Amino acid sequence: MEQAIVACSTPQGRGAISVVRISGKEVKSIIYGLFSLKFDHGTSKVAETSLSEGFNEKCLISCFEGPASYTGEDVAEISCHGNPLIVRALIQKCIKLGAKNANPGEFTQRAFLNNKIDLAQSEAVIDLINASSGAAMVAASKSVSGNFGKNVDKILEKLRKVRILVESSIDFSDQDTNIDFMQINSLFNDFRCLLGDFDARIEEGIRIMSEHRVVVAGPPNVGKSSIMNILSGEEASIVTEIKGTTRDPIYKKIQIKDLQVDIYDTAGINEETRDEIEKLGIDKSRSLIEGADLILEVVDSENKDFSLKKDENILKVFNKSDISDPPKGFSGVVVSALEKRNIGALEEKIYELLSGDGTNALFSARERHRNLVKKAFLEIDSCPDPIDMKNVDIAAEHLKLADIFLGDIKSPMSADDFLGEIFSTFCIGK
Amino acid sequence: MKADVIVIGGGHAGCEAAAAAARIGVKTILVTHKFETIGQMSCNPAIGGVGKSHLVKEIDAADGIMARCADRAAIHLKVLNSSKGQAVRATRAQADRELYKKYVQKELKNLDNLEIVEGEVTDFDIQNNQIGSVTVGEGKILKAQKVILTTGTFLNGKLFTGMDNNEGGRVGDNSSKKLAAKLRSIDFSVGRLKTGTPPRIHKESINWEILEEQKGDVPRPTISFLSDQSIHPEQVSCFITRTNEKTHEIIIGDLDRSPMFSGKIEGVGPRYCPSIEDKIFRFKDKKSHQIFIEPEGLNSDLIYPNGISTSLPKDCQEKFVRSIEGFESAQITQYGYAVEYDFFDPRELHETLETRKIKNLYFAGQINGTTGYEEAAAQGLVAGANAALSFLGKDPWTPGREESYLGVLIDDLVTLGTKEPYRMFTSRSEHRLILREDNADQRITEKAYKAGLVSEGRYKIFSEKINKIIKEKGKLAKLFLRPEDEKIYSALKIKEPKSATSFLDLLKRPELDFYDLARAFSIEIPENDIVFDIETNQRYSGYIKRQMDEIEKMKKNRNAHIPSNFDYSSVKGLSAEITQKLSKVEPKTLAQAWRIPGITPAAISALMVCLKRNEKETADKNARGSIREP
Ligand SMILES: Cc1cc2nc3c(=O)[nH]c(=O)nc-3n(C[C@H](O)[C@H](O)[C@H](O)COP(=O)(O)OP(=O)(O)OC[C@H]3O[C@@H](n4cnc5c(N)ncnc54)[C@H](O)[C@@H]3O)c2cc1C
Ligand SMILES: Nc1nc2c(ncn2[C@@H]2O[C@H](COP(=O)(O)OP(=O)(O)OP(=O)(O)O)[C@@H](O)[C@H]2O)c(=O)[nH]1
Ligand SMILES: [Mg+2]
Repeated sequence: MEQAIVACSTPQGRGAISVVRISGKEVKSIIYGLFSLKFDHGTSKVAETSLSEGFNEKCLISCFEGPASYTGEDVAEISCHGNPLIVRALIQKCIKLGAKNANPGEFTQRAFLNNKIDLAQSEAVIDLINASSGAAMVAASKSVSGNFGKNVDKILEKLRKVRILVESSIDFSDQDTNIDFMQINSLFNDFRCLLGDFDARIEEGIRIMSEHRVVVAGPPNVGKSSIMNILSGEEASIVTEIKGTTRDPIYKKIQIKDLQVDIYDTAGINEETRDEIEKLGIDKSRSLIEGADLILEVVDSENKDFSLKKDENILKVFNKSDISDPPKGFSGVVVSALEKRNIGALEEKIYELLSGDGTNALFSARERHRNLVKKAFLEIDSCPDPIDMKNVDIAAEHLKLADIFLGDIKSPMSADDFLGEIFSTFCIGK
Repeated sequence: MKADVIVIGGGHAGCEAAAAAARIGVKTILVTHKFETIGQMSCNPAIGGVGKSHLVKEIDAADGIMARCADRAAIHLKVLNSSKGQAVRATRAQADRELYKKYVQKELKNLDNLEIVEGEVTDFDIQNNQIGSVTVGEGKILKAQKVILTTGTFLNGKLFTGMDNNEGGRVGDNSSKKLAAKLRSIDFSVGRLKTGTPPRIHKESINWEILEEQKGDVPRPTISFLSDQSIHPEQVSCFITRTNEKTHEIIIGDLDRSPMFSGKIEGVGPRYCPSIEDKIFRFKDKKSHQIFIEPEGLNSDLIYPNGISTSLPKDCQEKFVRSIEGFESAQITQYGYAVEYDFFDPRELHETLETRKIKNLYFAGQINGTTGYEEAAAQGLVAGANAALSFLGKDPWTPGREESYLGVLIDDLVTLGTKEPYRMFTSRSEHRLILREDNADQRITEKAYKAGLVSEGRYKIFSEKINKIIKEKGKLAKLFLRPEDEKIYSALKIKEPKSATSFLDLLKRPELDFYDLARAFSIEIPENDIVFDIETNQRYSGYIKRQMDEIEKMKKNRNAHIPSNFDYSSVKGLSAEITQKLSKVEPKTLAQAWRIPGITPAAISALMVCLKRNEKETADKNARGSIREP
């Protein structure tokens, strides 16, 4: 049997119950580690596991011993509350106990490789792998866009500076490279601080990931602030009949069903304005629009031709339906903020768009990335400190593995490319 | 004339290939230009160094000739990284060129199954994509089952000094034009690479007094597992000097007359072995570069200034050399030059180094895009062994990258190819802590013995060493330091142990070494190599275990074979780009497919499923077939 894999097998963020599935060699010990429960084929039992201090989660555990299971390996299915934080904590615990995140389609792939699925289905397996890995690829690239990816780049850059010196000290000790261990250690400390900070902050990053950023945007005076206020259920934003009321973005946390949503009200976009302060506000609106998971593009009958010219992540909203009808063929939600008309439908649509297919993949992509950072952190934790002549071979090993883990988040570097970096740093040759 | 295996070229690849085939016991002919240039070191008079010495020790572990000849020719020996951890130690020897050649020639002469033919191979006979014979000189035909080509830098070789160039394989030798033309007519992918060599200087013209001396190590290391210090000839020192700003000024002033910089040479040179003009151009901030002054031999009048390889014009070489401290009145006896030559894309080779296009034809050495004697010899060994094994109808011997640098070298070449002359570095291996110099015999000898490469004598010595290690380890596992043994732990200056701890476990602590422990326990100390082995394996045991786990995984993928002629376009869902990459490399195993840049995990999964399906289909068919035929 192969190393255990773990994944949430129900769509994330939806439904009252989530099922976490594990399959592989370590399943029995993982179940014991989580619930102090003996793994009995064909049984379903209720037991508790502690996910954080003072917080126990009650789960239903179904056990299937290989080969009489879906994958042909030992399999356990753990049903828990459909809360993303609980699911994540549970997956993390499984990983601590020896599992790894499943690749897209990996359960089915294992089933196939263990002869649990017949030949005719193999095409379907490949389709599944391709489809879900397609989604996973999109999700992975989404996950590394923005600050997270930039931080990974920065950290890798620092790590490679250390590695260039460490590796050179081994492979090119007979050359005129003058490698200074003081310098190695000072670079190593730089790197370690940065990685430590990042590791601590990544929790926060994950939380931000599982939240969703909705930006209300559009021309001035169409009722953006009014919509924001209704959705958040409080008078967060000032509403007046004067164009350009909102200047600085206003931010509120709201809950739509089980989704955490951050909603932003922005300054109306008015290309003609001469007002310097309003212009600054509009710049801020634009940058928020860029980072949004979903944009509510609000118009009214006076601004019906307005468009942000974006194809993705956009929901068109026609406001003030109490005084005029939307243009023919308007595709979007028609509401009246004043009379609170159709607001339920608006919420429903927002929910649908945010919890669409991508979320689950994105969530697991980020989980995988987070585990990679953790692994790199563990490597660095066990790297000798300070690095000196005697331990440099071992240090090189830990640093290389950290590079592999972090590199896996974006693009791994081949040994040959790495040598190239060394040669462009040092003058080496006969 | 007829042979089972013919080797073309008496360089480092050719000698090792011929010797390997002959050791396995097939009738072998080595055809080379001149008997007297067999085993010639075309460039620097040194063997070994980090990464390279690992290859040489592995060759030795398979009973190859390079290490023992190097020991007999070694006039200055050093252990590199000696102050660093055990895992990265490496041996390097300055070799007396003449002695080295002499011992290589002697080794070859002494081989029963080997015959040496002088002459230039000018043609091949190829029919149905299979090689049948080679033509020597004007028409002497040699028939053979297997042919190994190891012609080094000779194919369309061109030598450059300044704006002059002429044809040649190296100084004093003609290039192989006819054979090169023949090879170009077969559709191999050909490329051009270049490398260079520094001017040689007359010993007497150097002002030795002012130079910094560097002595060899005492005690002297040996390269071969079977050698001891007594076979080394007389030892001499190396010296060190440096370039200065004046040198750099002269060189910069003449860059427009450099064949490299004026674009005359198209071949790609190695990034790590740049010429002095390259170094000065690329590292403008560096005011001085180090030069190792290496003796060419005990009876040679020449020295090799390591660090100033160049193809600048002769007058410029004179000027810049004389600007260097100690070289003020240096006499150049042979000018530096660059050589540009044909090489073949090694991705068109099998792991046995047989070409994919022409059956029974093998390529080894510099023609596969590598540089260095050790890299050449390593390929020669593998090609020679496999040509002989295949002739005998036996299983191939293809060391994996998880067990050897031989494997790293060949796997890198056949799966990744190369854009510049490929040289070995330990950072190319994923398993540096396991692939050490000291355990090359434990990684190689057993399998090489099974392949028929290793003499009974060596195998016996090896087996005895292994038995000793096992016995010694067994003893030390049962030797305990107990809380009551105050005398021992105070002698070791360590704290009282909480519970009984074995000698072996104590070795895991970096502050304790074998000798101190042995003294404290007052036990007899075994031979140095046994101590080194036990100590190193204990010290790195955690890491070794971890790497072994990785290796297990790797082996699994290495065992997942992809049939030759596998149709990648039949795998649904592979992108056109990935299909193309896989078809070009034709990986033999899933492990190789993994290492091709740009191959995604999803592609590997899809491939894995597809392979499994094909396997099942054939199994089902066979099952049906056997029902019909009772
Ligand atoms: C100028 C120069 C600079 C170099 N610089 C470096 C360096 O900086 N670092 C480094 O590591 N290595 C360097 N080398 C490379 C090193 O010498 C080679 O890598 C190594 O010798 C290659 O071994 P080989 O067996 O492939 O070929 P070679 O040692 O070149 O041997 C080829 C043999 O084939 C024979 N031969 C060729 N054609 C025919 C034919 N048609 N018929 C019969 N016999 C034939 C030749 O006579 C010769 O004996 C340099 C080589 C040269 C020439
Ligand atoms: N009739 C009608 N009036 C509305 C509706 N929604 C908002 N208004 C009015 O439109 C005016 C502008 O509303 P705001 O919510 O401040 O508009 P805004 O888009 O935030 O404006 P700026 O912040 O200036 O860009 C106010 O007078 C609101 O009372 C609606 O649904 N129907
Ligand atoms: Mg407003």
